[in-house]
Amino acid sequence: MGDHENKKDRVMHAAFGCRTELLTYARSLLGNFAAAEDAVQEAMIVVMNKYDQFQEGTSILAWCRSIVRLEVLRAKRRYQQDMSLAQRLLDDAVDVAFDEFQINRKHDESTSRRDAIRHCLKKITDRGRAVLKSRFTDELGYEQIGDQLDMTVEAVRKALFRTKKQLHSCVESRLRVTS
Amino acid sequence: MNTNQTRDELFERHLQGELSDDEKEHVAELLDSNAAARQQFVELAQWDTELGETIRDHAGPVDNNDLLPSGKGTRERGGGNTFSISPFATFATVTVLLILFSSFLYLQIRVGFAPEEKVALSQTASSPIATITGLKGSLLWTGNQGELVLDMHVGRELTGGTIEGLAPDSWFELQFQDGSIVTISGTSMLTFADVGQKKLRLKQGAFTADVVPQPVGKPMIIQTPSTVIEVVGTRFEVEALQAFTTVNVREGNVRLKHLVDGNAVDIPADYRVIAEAGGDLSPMPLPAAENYWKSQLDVQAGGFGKWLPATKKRPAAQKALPFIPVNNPNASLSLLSIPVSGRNGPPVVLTPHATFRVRGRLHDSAQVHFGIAVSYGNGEFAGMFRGDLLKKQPVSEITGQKEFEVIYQLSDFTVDPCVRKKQDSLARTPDGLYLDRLWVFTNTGSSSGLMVHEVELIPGEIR
Repeated sequence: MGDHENKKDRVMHAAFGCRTELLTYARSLLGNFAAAEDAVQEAMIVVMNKYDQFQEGTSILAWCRSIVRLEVLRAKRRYQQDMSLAQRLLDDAVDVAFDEFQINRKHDESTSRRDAIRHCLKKITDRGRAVLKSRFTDELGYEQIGDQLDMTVEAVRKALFRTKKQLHSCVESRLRVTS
Repeated sequence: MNTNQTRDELFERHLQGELSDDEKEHVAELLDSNAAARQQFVELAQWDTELGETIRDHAGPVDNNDLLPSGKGTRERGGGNTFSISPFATFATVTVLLILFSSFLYLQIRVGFAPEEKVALSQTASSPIATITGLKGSLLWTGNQGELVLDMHVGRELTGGTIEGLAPDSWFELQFQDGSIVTISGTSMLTFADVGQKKLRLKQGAFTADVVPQPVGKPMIIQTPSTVIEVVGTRFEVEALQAFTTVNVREGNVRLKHLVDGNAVDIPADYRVIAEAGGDLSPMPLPAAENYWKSQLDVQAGGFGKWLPATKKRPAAQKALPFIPVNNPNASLSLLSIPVSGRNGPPVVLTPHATFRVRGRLHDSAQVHFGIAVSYGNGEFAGMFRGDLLKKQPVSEITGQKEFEVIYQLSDFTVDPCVRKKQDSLARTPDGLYLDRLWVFTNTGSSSGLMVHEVELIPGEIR
């Protein structure tokens, strides 16, 4: 295998390794899971075509994030998404926050976290799981979830907050036990 | 609810795209000013996305049963017990699937928008009323039928609609069928129609017009957020902000009506009116030009960017916003602009040895690029120039306070590459022309934190 192929493999492997981080970043700018997944997928194609421009030894996450950023802005333009002053300011602030604080989890750590989440999801109430599914999979608002599950908006809000908190505690303690 | 809980909920709703404009501004301010909040935001977003991904992976096309406890149909995707595929094979499969899926998405998007079809439909629905005679930069035209026109070029005929200049260097000239010409420049939004009478609405920004005599009883009507202007035939400029509208008349006569109190005034040639709530509508002679100018950012400047009032730690500033140029979609800029002429102050004329001094802040040292737009004495667009292209622009080093200062000599200014094609009809140098606005940007690939505290135009070189 030539040097180029080796580098391509290394870059692609590293890029896929930070897919969740990139998805997090795209979602923070687009406010939509499905659109964020599309933007990251488009970005991965760019990474594959431009892998030779990546300077090994520098941060793969920062490099990929700059590519995702362009894809996000393209998506916003394509879908005529709100580009009001407030939105632009928020995008800028989000960008700075990710530059400053986002870290790339190691593969093993990500896998453990994912396993822990799966484990803990089994421990929450059916109602809690239904609220989470409506929120994440169907991307419904509080009111729509309330209509679907026959709950008040306030009950949905509380259920969502409590369930996530409960899951977070469960995941953290499970990770402590397994590490 | 405690502060962290409120923040968590706000951040969570942001990730779902549910914030109002006020809430977005609040979150932006919070993140801008508080490092702990930035960290909390990134950590929450990361956790929320990991959780969301796991749930979405489980959900598939079926219902909540997928999330029921083990033994009630739980499906483990990617779990080691379900499939045994080598990491390389998984990687290769994912890559191929991604390419196929992205190609499919691309085709879907292309088919979904089909702008040419929509334009064709609109053109049969109503007749063209004007032709594009000049354009530059990022522009968006929305026709009366709601169609978006992406293919903008000189000579294209348009039905009524809205033209929007998306960047400080945007410029658009439109000629109506009777020969009247209107021009918008910078970040502006103009809606126009001509059904026997020309009606225009300048929602924001700057606009100039050279109007041929209009039919009796059917003057051109221009509405801004605060005024209605009637034009029989004249040459004039309008600048509209939410709070006030400035009208400078170069030839002929313009009637201006203030929407707030219904007062009207006739503005003769070489006079101007600044119409604002509770203000005097008396026309004043157009002020004599000056060669010195300094930005006044202690009040809201308009232009492109976010105005930030002064704090204890820094003076008032115009903050850059992210921007992708239409002609270079691979670049992601941090861009701001500041308007110069056309306000309460006198027009500003550039002298050959003039110098711009720009002071501001950056997160890190970076090249700071600088451009200006100028007009002729009659208000017509004269061109755009860049102060950073003739000589390789040095990196502007920041001080401990993250501040920078950069100087641009007018003698180093060259024609902005975007208007080179129109060079025959535009000015070759900016000296002697009126300074309309300026813009400052960085091209670092991510947010540079660029903000400008002050721009000063000094008639002679700084020694």
